[in-house]
Parts: sequence; structure tokens; C-alpha cells
Amino acid sequence: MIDINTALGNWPFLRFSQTTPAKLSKHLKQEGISQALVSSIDAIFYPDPDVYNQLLAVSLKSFPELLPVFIVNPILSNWERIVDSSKVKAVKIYPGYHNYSLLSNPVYSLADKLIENGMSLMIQMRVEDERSHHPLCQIPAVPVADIVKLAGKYPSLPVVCLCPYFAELVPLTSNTENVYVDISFVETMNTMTRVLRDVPAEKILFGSHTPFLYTRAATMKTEYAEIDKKTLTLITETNAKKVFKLK
Amino acid sequence: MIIDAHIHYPFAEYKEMKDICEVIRLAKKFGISKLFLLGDVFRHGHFQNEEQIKEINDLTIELVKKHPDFLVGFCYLNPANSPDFMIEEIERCVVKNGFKGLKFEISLNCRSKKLDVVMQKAGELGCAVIQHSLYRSTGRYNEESTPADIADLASRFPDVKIIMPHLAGCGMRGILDISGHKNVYVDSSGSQAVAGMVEYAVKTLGADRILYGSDIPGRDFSAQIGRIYGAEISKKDKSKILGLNAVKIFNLK
Repeated sequence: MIDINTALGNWPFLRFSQTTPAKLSKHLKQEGISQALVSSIDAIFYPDPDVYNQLLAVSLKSFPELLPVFIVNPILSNWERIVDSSKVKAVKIYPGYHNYSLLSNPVYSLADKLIENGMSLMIQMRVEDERSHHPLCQIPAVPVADIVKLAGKYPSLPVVCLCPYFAELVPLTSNTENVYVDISFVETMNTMTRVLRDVPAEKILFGSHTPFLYTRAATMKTEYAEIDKKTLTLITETNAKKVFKLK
Repeated sequence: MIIDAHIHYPFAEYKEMKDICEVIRLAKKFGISKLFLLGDVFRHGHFQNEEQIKEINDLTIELVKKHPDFLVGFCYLNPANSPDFMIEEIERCVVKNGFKGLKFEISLNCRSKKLDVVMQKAGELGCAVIQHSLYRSTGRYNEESTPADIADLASRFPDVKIIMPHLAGCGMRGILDISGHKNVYVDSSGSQAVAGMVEYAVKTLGADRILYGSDIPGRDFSAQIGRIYGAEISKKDKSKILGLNAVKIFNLK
């Protein structure tokens, strides 16, 4: 199983168990996850995310199953260097936390560069349920309509949405060919069966949002899914390999 | 043994689910042996009149009669309705039909003295009260209760068992609010499975005061049970949370 949505670091509002690469690696293996894309949590708030991108990359060197995904803020002047230095065929952006619109020139330049490099764009739609944000630190979710417009403008760019809600899946995927979603925040009765009624399996990726959420909450969605093995493998492995060009 | 202490049926946009048998089938797949049916609390909006309340409870009575071994009924009330009606409805649901407790949603803040008559009745009958509450930074409904409001209710009625739902939504602040009130329990239902919350609740309240709940059908058994299975607590504490506490608190056979 490949988990496309994990992270390492500190967060002011939660206390995590998986605080080191070794702990994260062991924990994910215990949950049946053999490979994971990992980002730095500290890079979200730190003024230059690349400082923490690089620290993360160094810390993961002994853990080949944990692949560092760099966080890019396209309004900072170092975004292009970060994109070029990434070994993983994707970068992650936080438009809500970094306070810019997806429909803006810096993002368009980033999209052009990612297409040129054959990379995917991961968009962190939210980190936490908006209702639980600190009252003086309320970060807006990335608007679905903006993602759809951006994806439409760059049809050859794979756009991977992290932490969408169930209600956002259809608007994100129904009129776009290149938008993918992870399942970490998706929840409704009999989740996977219900989601697959509206969303093609090829658009769905396994993500747990570890360590923010209990990993088991995500693995049980797939473990108990009433779907055939081929579809399950698409969601938990094949789609990730294709989108991120993993070996 | 797993008992889900918080489900609704049907519910808002999920009215497409016409058969409770499907919910029961899925529950059994996860090893659940009982579901606490709290009523279709938003069927008629937030402020239901007496006829609407009766209709909601009629449906719960009907469903529990069809599946008496699996479903446990709860009497849904709007505490702003007349005291006479509420007492009659409690008699009908709890005394005549064996419901195990009362459920209040967001029709009236639980600091209101209008709750006194039903809380006294709950005390007389020895049944528990499930009072919705949440801390939400996006703004709350006018009459929605917070965990601090529940603490107030608990101090007024220390002999009535009160369940505060939505562990993650109430957050650490909510857990602290009710920690000193030994008659208040928390259920784990709803919201995302935020890591660390179960461990925090066990450390702060003790495992004896926590119940597993899902908030089906807006949520899924998978993620909601996964929250308990994934928590770094002892097997013994997991067993308590997943079912043993519910048996004890609600005197289940």
C-alpha cells in the first residue's frame, strides 16, 4: 500500500506520536503501508519552506520507503530551484496557509514548470477541520472552483487534492480529467462503495494524513471496502505509481 | 463486543437510505452488536413542534420494535416544548417502549431552566441524557450547547448521567470543561479521527468515561472504529470504550 499523504514535524495545535522518520516508518509498516510520500509540517509556517524541505530530505536518507515531497510557496523567489531539486515527481502547495489564490500568475508559472519537468501538483486543501481551527488562526480551505479552473487551464498537469471532504469529490472530479483526490478526509456511510458510485477509481488515491489523523481510520476504509481487488489495488497502489512515477 | 452509542436514521440528505437493515448489515461486518438510535434529529429543522417530535420518536419506536436485539432507542426531545408534552413523551418512549435515554440536539441551550423538568424525570427513571455539544471556531448555532454549558447542566443535576458527544469536536478544552463532573461521559462520534484525542481523553477522564460512537450515516464505521483501534491505549481500555462502558452506563443485558 502506498500512502500519498503523510508528514513529519511539529504542529502547534496537536501532539504527535510519529515524531521521527524511524517512528513514522515503523508505524506505517505496522499499518500495512510499504511506501509513503512525506512532507515537512514545520515548512508550512516557516517563512522559507525550503529550509525544512532540506532538513526533511536529509533525515529521510536512511529510509528509502519514505519519499520527501517538497513544499513550495510560488510567491517566494526560490520556488523554481525547489521544483528542480525534487527527486519525487511532485511538489506540494498550501494556498490557504501561504495566502495566495490558485488563479494567479505565480501559480501559473509553477504549473508551466511542473509540466515541463513531468511532475504533479499536490494541493493541500486543508490541514484540519475548519471548525476546529484556533479562533485566531482560521485558515480558509482552498476553493474547489479554483482547483477545477486551474486543472482546466492545465489539462496535462496532474493535480492531486489532499484532504477534500466527501461533498467536494464530485465537483472536483466530474468535469476534469486531471484531478485526483485522496481519501483521508472523505467519510460517509460505507465510504468507498459510495464514493465509487460517483468518482472513477482511477482518480482516487490512498492517503491517511498521518500524523494528524489516526492512520487506522484510513486503512480501515480500504480494508473493509466492498469493492473488488483490482479496484482496491488501483486506489492503494497503482494510481500512486502512475501519478508520481514511482518504481 | 462493540456497541455504537451514536447513530441517526434516516438523516438529512441521507434519506436515500430507506432500509435500516443496510445499516445493521454494515455494523455487523465491523463486529458491532448494538446501535444506539438517537432519532432523525434534523428531520424538521432545529426547532421541532410537539407533533414533529412525536413523528421522530414514532419512527424510532417502529425501528426498535423491528430490531429489538440490535437497536437501542433514545427519546428525542426539544426542551422548549411544553413540560407536560415532554413528560408524556418520556413516559411513552422510556417507560412503555424501553428506550434507554433522552437526546437533546440544538433546539435549546442546556443552561436553560426549561430542561429542569426533563432532567428531573430522567433522574427519577435512572436514564441517561445525550446532549449535543461542540466548540466550533466557525460560529455556533444560536441555541447550540458547548461543553461548558454541559458542565453547568451536570452541576445542576449531579445524579443524572450525561453523555457529551463528539470528542474531537469538543476538543481538549471540552474535555477539561467536563473533567470535574463525574456524571459526564464523552462519546467519540463525528469529526475527523484526529490523532491523540482518545489518548488525551483517557488520560484526563479515565477510560471508564469514554464511549465509542460513530454518528452514522454522516460518518463511517471504518474511520470511527479506526480511531479507537489506532489509539495508543491499552487493550483493556479499548474494550471499555468500544462496549463495556455502554453496557454499564445504560444497564444493557
